[in-house]
Amino acid sequence: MKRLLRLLIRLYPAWWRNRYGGELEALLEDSGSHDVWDLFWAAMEMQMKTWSFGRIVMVCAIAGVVVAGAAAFLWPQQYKSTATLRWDQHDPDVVNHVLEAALPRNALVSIINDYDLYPRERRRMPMEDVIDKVMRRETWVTPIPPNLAQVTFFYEDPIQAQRVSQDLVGRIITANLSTPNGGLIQLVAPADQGKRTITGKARLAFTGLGLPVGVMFGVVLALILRRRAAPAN
Amino acid sequence: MSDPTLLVLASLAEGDKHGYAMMEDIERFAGIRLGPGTLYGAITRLEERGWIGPVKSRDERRQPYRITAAGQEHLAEQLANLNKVVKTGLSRLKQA
Repeated sequence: MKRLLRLLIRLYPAWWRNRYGGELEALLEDSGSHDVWDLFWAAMEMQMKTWSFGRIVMVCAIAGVVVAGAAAFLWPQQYKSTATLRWDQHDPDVVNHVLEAALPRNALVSIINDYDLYPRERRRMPMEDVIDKVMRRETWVTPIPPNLAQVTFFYEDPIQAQRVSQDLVGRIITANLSTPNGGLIQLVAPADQGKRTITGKARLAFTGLGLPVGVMFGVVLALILRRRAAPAN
Repeated sequence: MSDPTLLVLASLAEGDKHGYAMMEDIERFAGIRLGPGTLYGAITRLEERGWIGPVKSRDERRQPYRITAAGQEHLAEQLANLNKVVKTGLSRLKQA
């Protein structure tokens, strides 16, 4: 930690370190403070004290593009597999009853175990949370009037997404068979191989968004710094 | 009152202090623990404006600072403004 704090002091401009560096080191020793962010932002503020308005805006714009680009390209890919059903049942209560019968909690647990889904999430949260906070959000059954429904499953692997989507369809068809007035279900299109949900264009667009956001942030920051630097009276 | 420069001036109004002593004093009277970077940012700005200055000391790493006459004037002005706000707020609360 001491080494990190010393490194942070080196982020201050040379003129500042020559004048206050020793005092700041002594203060860190005396107070035992490890407030890394406070030191980092204060060092950045001192650096920017001597920068022009335009330079602050330009640096923030570049930082905005870099941060947005890193976020866009490091964001994990998700694949979406969809199956389409013809379902001659218009009563939402019956549809919900079939879905509840098809996908109870124990069915979702067995799907997770059978396909070895969410290994990372299962290591850090209980199965209940994996089902409620992850799997249910990534499983969609969307009615398409008048008589179609789409079953969609999102996952990080396209083959797994397809297998699980097909499994869900099978369970819905089976549950429908044992439901009175369930209506006729036919598989119109089996689950397709998972398609990417984030395209290269979307990642580039997100990266591009970093520019105006960075510029806006830079303008606000430059105005704040200018105001802080000006005498109060 | 969370402006670090004002807190530093208020602390030095009591007497000369080095960085750590200011940090402790401010925590005592205002309940705010200033980070080391924030504290030295405020000290830098105050020194630039001539509102505080270093005092000769044997220990250069624990440099004490003293509030100047201009600093006292500025502090008095700011506290008078704050006082006005506090009085107004309190009287309006009583009326409510």
